[in-house]
Amino acid sequence: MDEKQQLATKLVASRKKMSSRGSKRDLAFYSVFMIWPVLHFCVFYIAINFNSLLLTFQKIDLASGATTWTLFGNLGTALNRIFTNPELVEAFGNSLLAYFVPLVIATPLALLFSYYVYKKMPLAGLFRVMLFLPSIISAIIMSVIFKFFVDSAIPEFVSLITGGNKTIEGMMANPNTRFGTIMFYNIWGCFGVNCLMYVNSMNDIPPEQVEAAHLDGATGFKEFWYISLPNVFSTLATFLIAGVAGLFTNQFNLFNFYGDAAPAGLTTYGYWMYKQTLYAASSPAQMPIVAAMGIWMTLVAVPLTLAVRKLFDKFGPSAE
Amino acid sequence: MKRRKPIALILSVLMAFSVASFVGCKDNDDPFVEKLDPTRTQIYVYNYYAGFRADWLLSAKKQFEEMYKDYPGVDGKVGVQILMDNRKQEFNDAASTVRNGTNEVYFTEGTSFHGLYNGDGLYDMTEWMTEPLTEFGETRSIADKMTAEQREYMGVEIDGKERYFSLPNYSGFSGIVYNKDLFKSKGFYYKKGHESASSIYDKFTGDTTDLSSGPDGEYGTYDDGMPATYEEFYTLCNYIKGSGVVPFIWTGVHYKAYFGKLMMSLVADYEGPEETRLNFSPDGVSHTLINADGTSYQNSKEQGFVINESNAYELARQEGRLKATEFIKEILDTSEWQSSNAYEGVVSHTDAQALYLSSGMDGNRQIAMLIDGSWWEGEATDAFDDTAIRYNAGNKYERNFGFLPLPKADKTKKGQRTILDDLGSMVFVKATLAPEKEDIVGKFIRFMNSDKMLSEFTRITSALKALDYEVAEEDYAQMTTFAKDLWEMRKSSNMVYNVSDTPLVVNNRSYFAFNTYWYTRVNGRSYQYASEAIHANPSASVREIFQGMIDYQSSNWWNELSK
Repeated sequence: MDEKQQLATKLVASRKKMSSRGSKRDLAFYSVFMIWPVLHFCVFYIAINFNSLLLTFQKIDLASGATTWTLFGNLGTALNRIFTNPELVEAFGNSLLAYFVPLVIATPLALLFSYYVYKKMPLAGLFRVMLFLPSIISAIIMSVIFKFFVDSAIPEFVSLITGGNKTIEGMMANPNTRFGTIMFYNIWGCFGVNCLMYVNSMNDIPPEQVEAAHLDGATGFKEFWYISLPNVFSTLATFLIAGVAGLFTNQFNLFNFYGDAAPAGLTTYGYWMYKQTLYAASSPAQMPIVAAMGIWMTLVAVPLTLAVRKLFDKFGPSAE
Repeated sequence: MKRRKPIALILSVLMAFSVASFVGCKDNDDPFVEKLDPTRTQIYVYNYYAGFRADWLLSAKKQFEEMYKDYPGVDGKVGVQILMDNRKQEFNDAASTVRNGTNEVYFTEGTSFHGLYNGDGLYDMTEWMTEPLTEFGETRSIADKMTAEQREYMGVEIDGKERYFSLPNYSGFSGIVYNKDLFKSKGFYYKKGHESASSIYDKFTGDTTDLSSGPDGEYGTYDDGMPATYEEFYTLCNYIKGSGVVPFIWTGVHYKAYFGKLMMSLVADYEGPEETRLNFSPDGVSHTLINADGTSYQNSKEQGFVINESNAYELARQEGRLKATEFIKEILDTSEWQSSNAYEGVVSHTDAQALYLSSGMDGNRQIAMLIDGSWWEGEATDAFDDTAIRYNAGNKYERNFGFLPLPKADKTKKGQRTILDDLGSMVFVKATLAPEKEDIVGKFIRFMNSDKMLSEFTRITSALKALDYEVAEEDYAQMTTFAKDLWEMRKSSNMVYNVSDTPLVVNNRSYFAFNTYWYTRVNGRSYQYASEAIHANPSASVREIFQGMIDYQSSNWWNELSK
């Protein structure tokens, strides 16, 4: 083996060694990076849900300290409660509204607005920051600011402009306006995130595709409809499917505003579950019923979510 | 790229600043940060830091550490160190958290005794609690200071003997706070013989030597000059309003809960101790059940109605509930008696305290009364200090407030008061307490429940402990007028504690509380709180709301209980 060959062999060996070291380091980095989320998932998703599943079939008697097993007892009680508890009966309509109203109002608006920002129209950058602001600030702080605005600032403003002749109740204090006010907050709250995601998806549209569309005479709304929308459809579908999956867990930001004492007529399934879990902390014997409720809701939500996904896959527009 | 560098630099500086600013933070709200002293034996104490704060614990800590400064621990340690963990959350954690946690002694509220006991989270404190407290010159034990109901609830019979795994802690009940200085200066007290006065202006006085007998019907007691009946209370509110003073303020954010608690107090006072206890131990005879039209329900008034675990829902018919609803409806319906932001809104309970204390000091109208609880004065400590600095008003000890004895529904009910303590506060020690610490923790528990420390607690916090004790004269002399009122009220009243070992109640604790007791159905809609139903349905009558309670409790409430 001549000197050149020896050098080449050494170089290859050294590279192999470095590459092996590099991949070991990569693996170590990856493991350290992932161990926390994986552990989190195992404890806070798998373990907790498994525990809920076990609770569904348990009967806890705190007085005697005995825990016994029951096959359908809790499931039957939970099902009966879903149909007879007045709060839950009301929650059915509210939960659907909490999903569909933002869907019908916020989604088209968010898409159009994203298109506006994507096309770099006047003040697009400013709007982008302003709309995303609610998502940057903590939800609790945002809720408090909003509550002060609608319940304190607006009545003050009305009193000011009428010279103190007219006083109005806060918009969330007034039973006639509170549902609409909270709905507005929910729409506004999710608007920024939606916009940001759609804008980012639109930014990924290949410029050649847009240029080709322009050459074919597609501008303005046609470009939006035939180019932008099909390209962001996968993002849109993700939001819509996640919304269906969250039908029974969406607490409608009620806990942020009211704690466990939301006014009558606002309750959603998600909020009700939240509240009952809180109460069950001091009444552990009630936990199996709450767990059984969760099972029923999962049994409805899972096939519904899969069906909606299937529908989107089948009928959704394609970027092709 | 060049533009991004300065931005990245700014962001890095901001990040470094935010991280650095967290270095000084602990993982809780404890303002009493203290380093662990390895030369002493530590006792780790959890304290629910809310209305009762921690000033009392800090004082007790100093005294106990001084008392046992030569205490010989293991590994050559000498002395004791109490390390406090003050948290702004009630303790609802699982027994495993207690067993495996650092904290050893817990002062909590809203904790489920049975949940912790069944999960083997609690230490057996029987010996500490049943031996007379002779080291403090007392003849009674801690258990002797508990009521029979408390002993039954916190005691567990093991091998034929009662064992204790927890003991009562704070006492709390709701009511109406009033400004004594304002009542005196404006003359809002009922004068002696006011019943025969024809004009409203001749009924009231500021002369505290010429007062009516108040709700207890006896002269020379703490409630003299106070409205004796609901009607007299309404007249007083109108008089206050006519004098240019706002009668009430309350928390808009939590008005439903605060009115729910106030209603519990009104019901207890109307029903008396035996009927009130039925609500938590449904085993006895009720003589106050009525129909919504006011007539006796199944001859309950005449012959009594047997209540047990199979028909506890019938207690929704207790006449006291109708009367309590009537009382709060009058307050909630009369907007001219209320401060602004009375509903929902943005006024929290501490905001309401601050607004109440500063009322009349910044060109705003004075407010006569605050709907709050027996713990309010300690909770409002910061608001007192702030008002004193900002408006040069007196501090807590220089201003005079009182706890208004709730008026009676009518003259026939005048007499002794019944108070319902529904705080559910308790003290316990973790089951896994290290054997070498058993002695010193036992000494600490006994010290904290000696009459001297219980009395000191009342002086410092202007609140009560849920045990039977006496306030020392020197403590009484230093107490605020509010604390004195509270103490006098408690001494002259029947105390009922919301504790029970009835299986129905134990297994459905959250269904026997102020926030689940006032469900009603009005105009086809269910309301968790009667106060909300009243506000949302101003045209609904008291009887409609009462009927709604009966309907809801006998159907949904009852069906949802775990039996």
